[in-house]
Amino acid sequence: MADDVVIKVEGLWKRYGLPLVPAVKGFANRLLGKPSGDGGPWALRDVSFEVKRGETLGIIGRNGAGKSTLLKILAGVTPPTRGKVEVRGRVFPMIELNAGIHMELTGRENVRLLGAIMGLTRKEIEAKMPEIEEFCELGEWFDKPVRMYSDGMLARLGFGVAMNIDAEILLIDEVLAVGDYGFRRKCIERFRKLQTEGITILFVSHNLYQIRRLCETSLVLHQGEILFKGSPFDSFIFYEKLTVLEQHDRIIDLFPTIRSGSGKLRITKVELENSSKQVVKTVYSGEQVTFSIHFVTFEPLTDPLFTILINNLDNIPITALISRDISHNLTSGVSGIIKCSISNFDLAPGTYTVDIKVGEEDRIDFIQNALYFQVLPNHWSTFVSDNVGFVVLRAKWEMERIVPKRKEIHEESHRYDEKIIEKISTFQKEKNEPYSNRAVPFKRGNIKKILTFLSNCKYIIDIGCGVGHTMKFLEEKGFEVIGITINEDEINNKVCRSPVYLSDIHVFETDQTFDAAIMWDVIEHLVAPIIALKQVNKLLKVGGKLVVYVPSQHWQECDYHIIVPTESQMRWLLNLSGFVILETENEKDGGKIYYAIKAENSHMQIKQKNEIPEKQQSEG
Amino acid sequence: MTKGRYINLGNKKAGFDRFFNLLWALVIREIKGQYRRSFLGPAWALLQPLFYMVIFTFVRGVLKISSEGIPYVLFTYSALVPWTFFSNAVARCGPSVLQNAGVVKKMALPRVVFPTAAVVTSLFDLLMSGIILIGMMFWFHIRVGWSLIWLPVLVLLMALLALGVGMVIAAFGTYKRDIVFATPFLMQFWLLATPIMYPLGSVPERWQKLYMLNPMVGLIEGFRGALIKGAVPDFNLIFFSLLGIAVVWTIAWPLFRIMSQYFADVL
Repeated sequence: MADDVVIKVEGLWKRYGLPLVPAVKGFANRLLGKPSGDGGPWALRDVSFEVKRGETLGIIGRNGAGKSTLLKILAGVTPPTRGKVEVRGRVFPMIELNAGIHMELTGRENVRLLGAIMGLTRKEIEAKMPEIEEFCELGEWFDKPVRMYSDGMLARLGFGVAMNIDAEILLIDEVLAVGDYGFRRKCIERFRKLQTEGITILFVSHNLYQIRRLCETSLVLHQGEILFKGSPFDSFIFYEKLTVLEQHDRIIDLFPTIRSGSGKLRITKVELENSSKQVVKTVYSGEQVTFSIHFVTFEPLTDPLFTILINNLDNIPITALISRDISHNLTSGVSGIIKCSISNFDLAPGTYTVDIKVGEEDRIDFIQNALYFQVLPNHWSTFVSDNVGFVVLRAKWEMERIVPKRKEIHEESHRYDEKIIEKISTFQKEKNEPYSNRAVPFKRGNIKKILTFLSNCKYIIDIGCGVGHTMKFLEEKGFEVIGITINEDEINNKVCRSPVYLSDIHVFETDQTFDAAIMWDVIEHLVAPIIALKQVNKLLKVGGKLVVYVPSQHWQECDYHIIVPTESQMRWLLNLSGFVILETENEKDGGKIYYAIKAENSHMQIKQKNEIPEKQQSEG
Repeated sequence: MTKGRYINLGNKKAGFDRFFNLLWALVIREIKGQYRRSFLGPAWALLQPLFYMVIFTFVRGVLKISSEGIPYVLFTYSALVPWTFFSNAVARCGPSVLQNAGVVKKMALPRVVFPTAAVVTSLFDLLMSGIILIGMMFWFHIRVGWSLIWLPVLVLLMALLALGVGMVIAAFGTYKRDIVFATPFLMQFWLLATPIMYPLGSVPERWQKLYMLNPMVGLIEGFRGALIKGAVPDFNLIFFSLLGIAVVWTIAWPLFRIMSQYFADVL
């Protein structure tokens, strides 16, 4: 046995039950002169394969194909009847996870029991207990009797122990179907980790998607024999084709061909061709296919309409293909073929039946279940959705910007600036300042000039809107305005109709883009003006306008974070965040208004980078 | 046709260590699980021999059975306690593999651990019912001596016998349930064929030889003697018991070993 081979199976045959019984039966039969026969069904016939260390092998097969038997033999649970099985390493079979669980014991006690069953010493179990407890995510239920558990919780318990055993070879039988989605994902992550650690895994599943996600190679077991070994995808295709052959008779029984119609025209044959012009019963999803309908006429017909109706096995019509594009007058006694090609046959993988109809109201010929065929996935993505639905649409996915929900923004902003907000509120309360006095910017500014600047704008965002005096003013002028503030108090006392959101400009994101933004008396309060301005830049469309008012010095002395930027700092900030300053205007109170637009090229700032700002001088 | 071979080159850790870990876990599970949802709890272990004792006392009133000068209640109870242990152990062995079908089908374990756990679990019941026995001995002012050291030896021999018989029952019972269903009847019969409600001396002379073939005779008689009379067990009788145990094990062990390989196939 080569060093890296951990499982070696040679000519393995398996028949269930005591070997003595078939021997006795055979002997008795021979005495009675009956043919001795094979002596019972073989669960496995001449199975041979090898698995290397660190490999993950998937085993595909229908019920009764011998998958579980194979795992049981590898686990040493049942002996092989003939052949040789060599296993190197500590095998851990995850066949029935909850075997041995006692309903009256608590989760913790059951973990001890399962651990002992799985071959751990008590010390090892106790050492692993915290890890297991955490993995199970059962919380206080961990110390409650297992009989109170739901199925999902029970599965977690078994899985928690199983996943934390240091086995060298894992045998997994359909166990990933347990638990909720999150837990399943956790298990799959754990598998991945085990794979990287060089654990050998044998994985049996009906869920081919899981096989694909976890395995590198897989084999198809059918009636106890290995029929195919290869990549999971090839195995899957092989398996599907195999099932088609098996299903053939069953489908014909279930969907007998039924015929009706006037008989002016008779369909003689219906065929399905794949892209390489072969008559087939299986096609790949998305392939080019052609239906050919062979017919004979018995009477002249004007423009007979041919309809191909495709149904799934639940007899739900998937689509109807109608020959409206062509018109042909047919004379009596001719035979012909009409073809219908579909360039992208994007049906979901599955089995379908075809009804053919000739004529409309006057039913000339109608064959139900004239043909059945199988659609195979052309790519893994085609059955990622676990075969939900009828068609495979050619979709392209892209991740756009992720916008937090308003609640999240709320939490985020609190996290960000909780202390500052508190300080502002206390300060304002102490000063006993009425709301009406706050944030009334346009009293001071040159209203006409601002309105001209904003003239062809519609959507405006007011950052740090206070109770919304500016917004009220703007909405009266016919603008669509929203505001954001970090002070919930202000929202409760807002004076405008337009919406005000509780958020911090540092983290604020939305799907909407704005024509203009106003930051009045705000920039000096910001923790990181450059981040905020970049965020504002993102909110604006290209060419969007920005009005920033910066006071000469803050009009109130308080101890919270205020840095009034100088003019050169402001220029630098605006340029760096992708704005071009159009104009500045000095205010009567010594403050300054900056009129800027969003640069077309967001790398605008690079050009300006040699303009180094003065050292920050005004600290609060 | 060559027989199939399964070789695991990695299982070096398997062995006694693993066996005892597993045994311990199974016993704990049984004991905890058995009583956790019952009202009387471990008291159930006392009730069974007490129940027999009451019946036997009534029967004795009719049949006038000798008790060799010992209070009859104590006479019969001191034999019922080890007997109950033995019969429970055997009865538990039978379905022990069936009850653990899930585990048997799942893991490659030494299967003998299941009947062994059944016997060890019964040992716990023995300790519980021993409490009443001690109480009775105080009540009747029975003196005890060095002969008590024989008790563990005798219990161990009974456990071995129970395990041997239990393995046979479990081996067959796992395939066909009949023998498991029949066990209670067999145990009733065995109870009557053992000196429990009557002394050994009351068995007619001509039956004595045949009677001795019952390996429980020496063990029960020895237990009662060592406990109440302060007597060393009759080695003659013990020899027959040992012989019986040896015979049972020479049949049971290979039988169980061969048949247990295929347990997973039929469960």
